[in-house]
Amino acid sequence: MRELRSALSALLSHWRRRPGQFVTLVLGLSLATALWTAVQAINSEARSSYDRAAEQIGGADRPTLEKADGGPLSMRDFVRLRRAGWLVTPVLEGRLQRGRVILRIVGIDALTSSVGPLEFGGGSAETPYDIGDFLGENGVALAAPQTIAELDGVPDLPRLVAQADLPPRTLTVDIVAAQRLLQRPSAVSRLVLLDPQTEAAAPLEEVAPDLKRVDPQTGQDLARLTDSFHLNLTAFGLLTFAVGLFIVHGTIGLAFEQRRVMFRTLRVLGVSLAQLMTALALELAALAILAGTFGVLLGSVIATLLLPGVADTLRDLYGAQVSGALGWRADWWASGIAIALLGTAIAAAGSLWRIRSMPILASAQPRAWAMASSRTLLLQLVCGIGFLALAGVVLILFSGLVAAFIIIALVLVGSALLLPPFANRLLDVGQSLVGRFGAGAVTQWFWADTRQQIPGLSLALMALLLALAANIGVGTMVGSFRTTFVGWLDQRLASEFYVNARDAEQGERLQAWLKERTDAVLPIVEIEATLDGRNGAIFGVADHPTYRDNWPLLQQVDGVWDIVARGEGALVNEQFARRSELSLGDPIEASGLPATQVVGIYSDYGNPAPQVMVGLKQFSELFPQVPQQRFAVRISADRVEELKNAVSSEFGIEERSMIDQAAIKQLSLSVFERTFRVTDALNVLTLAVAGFAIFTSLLTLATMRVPQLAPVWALGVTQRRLAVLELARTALLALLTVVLAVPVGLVLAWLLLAVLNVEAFGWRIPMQVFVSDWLRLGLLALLAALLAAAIPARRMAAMAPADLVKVFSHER
Amino acid sequence: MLIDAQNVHKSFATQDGALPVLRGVDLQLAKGETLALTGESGSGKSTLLYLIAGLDCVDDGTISVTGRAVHGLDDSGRAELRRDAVGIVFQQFNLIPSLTVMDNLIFHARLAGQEDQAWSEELAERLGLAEFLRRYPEQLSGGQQQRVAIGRALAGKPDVVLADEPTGNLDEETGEQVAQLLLDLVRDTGAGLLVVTHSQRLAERLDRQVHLANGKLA
Repeated sequence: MRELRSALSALLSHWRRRPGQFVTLVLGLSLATALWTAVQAINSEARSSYDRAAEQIGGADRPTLEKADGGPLSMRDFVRLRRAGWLVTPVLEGRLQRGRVILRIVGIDALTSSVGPLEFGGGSAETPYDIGDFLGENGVALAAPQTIAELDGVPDLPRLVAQADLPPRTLTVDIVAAQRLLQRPSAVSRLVLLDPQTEAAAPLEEVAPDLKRVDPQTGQDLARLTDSFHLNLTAFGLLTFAVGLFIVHGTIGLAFEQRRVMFRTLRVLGVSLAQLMTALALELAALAILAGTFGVLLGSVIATLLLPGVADTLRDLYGAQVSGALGWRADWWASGIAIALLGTAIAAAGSLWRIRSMPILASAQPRAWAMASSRTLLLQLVCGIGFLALAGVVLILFSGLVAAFIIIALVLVGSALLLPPFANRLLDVGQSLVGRFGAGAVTQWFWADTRQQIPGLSLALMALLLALAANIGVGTMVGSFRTTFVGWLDQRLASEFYVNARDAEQGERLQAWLKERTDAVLPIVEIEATLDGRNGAIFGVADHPTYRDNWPLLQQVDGVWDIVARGEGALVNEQFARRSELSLGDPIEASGLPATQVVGIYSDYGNPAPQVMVGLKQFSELFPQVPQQRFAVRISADRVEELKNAVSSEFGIEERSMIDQAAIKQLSLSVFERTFRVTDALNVLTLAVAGFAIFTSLLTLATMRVPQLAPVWALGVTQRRLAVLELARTALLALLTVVLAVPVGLVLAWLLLAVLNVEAFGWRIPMQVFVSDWLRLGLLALLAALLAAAIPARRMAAMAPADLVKVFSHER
Repeated sequence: MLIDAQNVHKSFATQDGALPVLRGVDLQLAKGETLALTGESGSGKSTLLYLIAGLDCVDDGTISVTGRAVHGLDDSGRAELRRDAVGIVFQQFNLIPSLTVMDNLIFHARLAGQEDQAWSEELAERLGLAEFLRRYPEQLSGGQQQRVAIGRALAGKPDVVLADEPTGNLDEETGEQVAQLLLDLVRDTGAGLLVVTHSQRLAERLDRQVHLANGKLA
């Protein structure tokens, strides 16, 4: 114990003497841990929201009864079943927009519902309530305290009563109140079967032959639906963690090399190898816990900043309600510390192994740091090619989200491993060329010396390559997506004006009124439906040139619009076609829809759910209960404002129920931009970590450069010129990395667009390249590398000759 | 006997096969005795010293230090021997660069659990280090660093001190001073001293000297 304590204190004294190195190590590991923790915290918060939603009184996790023909349920069905002795409770769910807030409304029957954790009674001292206050059309709404705070000042809502553990942005009300709020009188979304049922009740086939029992579909829950999004975040967290590990690996490797004399001395003075290894492990664990704690704190700050954006994205994309505020959870704290420990162990494993196998009498002089032999370069080349080949095999043989991420990981790691041998070869060619053209001695030395620096800088350059490739890849994906999305919006939102009526009766009047004053009125009708086992929607589409000329069809049969108008075929969205492997001519399985076949496939970005479009006439026949309340209106753009005012004064329709084409495009684009805001933020952070890796590597290498530069200085090259050459060398290596990162980034973009997006969302976007973005990124990387090199270069230029001379007197 | 080496053999693997360095060496050192081990470069002097210190293992033969059979000890046992019974001085000083002079001086004694504040202060005084105790090794001259190394070797009052070319890195005058300090301190503590040296002047100041040539003691 005494020996261990003494050894540990000697080891730790190294950091006291080199605080900069200590800060680099802790900061590197903290940064790596921070982004991982941020992602874990966000995922944890989201999953906790999903869990709360699943536990909710909606009874989504229980068997339900539905109409066998997919038609709508009503309160009559509920009454019929209860009278027959069936223990069921009705639930009505829907979305309600109030101002800019979209709320999930869950209507229940408090008297029959025994599902979920609701407490009918209590409230606060100021706002007491009992079950009587809950019942009826104007009853109170239960909501999470944070939701109530969010809804402060929002008009047209019931009285809100706080109840903990309810999901965010969700109001639980009596079913009658829900029917009023959602303007769906007598509607019921599902009849939840309670447990246990009375044995005396007659069988369902006798009581209600038009109903069927449906077991809960776990595959449809939010957690499953949003898995791809969270996997995406996790992958980014891991990528940044990997980049951060390059810093930690470099710093730990350097610290071990610098302490080789100390290790030998400790062992000579009587510290056994086992004691030394234990002391080193303890030292590393202490550093990891310290850095992990910093990382978790930093990560929670990042998560707090990103979470509102993530919550918006999840709501826009999946309709998932996630709290925008971060709660402290033990799981991501533990995960952060564990990943810091694991990262340190990975980063230090090689160094520890070298110490373990180092003979006690081995030269204690620090070896040339990370001097790579041609064998190392060959090994990197073979491993890199092997990883890329393996990625190809996985791409051909496997499918699914996890396989897509494995391919991306293999491509990134493989490419990073190929960087040092490629850069070495390119510099070799450069050296030969300058030799052939009779360059001066300094130029020749410059190329040879640059090549010699690759081993020491390779980890930092690999980190830079990963960050740049991720930036180019994700940038290309988002850019391609944006360009396609804008074009798609132009097609999809061809109408100049969109208006929502308050109810069916007003809808009827509005449609008649608009027909007289505009070029065309196109009703937009939809109904929720189960499409091949997944929740989706069926739309009715009017027979009009607006759709014939603009609708973004990816595939179609001849005369597609005529067929749809006649009710002889249907259109499906791309994600439905891909997930259910539907092609033109295939039959569609959809609740409430008679046998029909696919006659066209349209792109439908920003929506992961399946959709079917049938002719408006057929829709009205199949679903007569769905009123025509929403309309797309064709009118010349300069008359939109005038029409809006006229609709407002004639029907009293509020501003928020009307929107023109420009505004809806703006809204859609803002949703799009928000979706990628988190990705952009993680991208920037990854690049920042890589920049830090370059900076620390150059700083640490600078301390070892003096013995390499002093002889050149002694032979007559000025310190100033040496400093300029150092800057040029860094610029050259950074430029090489940027050039090699472009093809890797493009491969990554292709994988994201053609593999990952298709797996995650069900749509594929054509890839486009953005050369100006690469140039900007390249310049940024170059600037970062030059800034990082500036400090050591300046130090070189200003170094006292006496310090350079020390190299020759062996006093360093 | 403090040191008793019998028929010690040691060879090293080279590209051309095993290179024998020690071919049956016998060496003894009594308590309080000072012994110089001389020989040409590459004659195996340092190798023999390292074998006695338990820094390397014999191929054949036996070595005992303070009655403990070094050749039979594992890594932990040899570490314990160096910690508790042996003080070592190297040509390259081998101080711990991140510890102050004072911390370096008492490090070995602390490791062995034999820290003696008064003795450490006396050592610092006699070695002329009192005014440098808060400095770091890199801030000292070569002679001063070697004095710290001598102090460290003696701070734990070991039974035997092993010194490998202790003046080899120092100029003549400084070497003289350092050698004198080493001899004085060793005599005062009553420890045995085995010095590997090229310096005939240093060897002559010791009680006895033996010469190693062709892997054997002459």
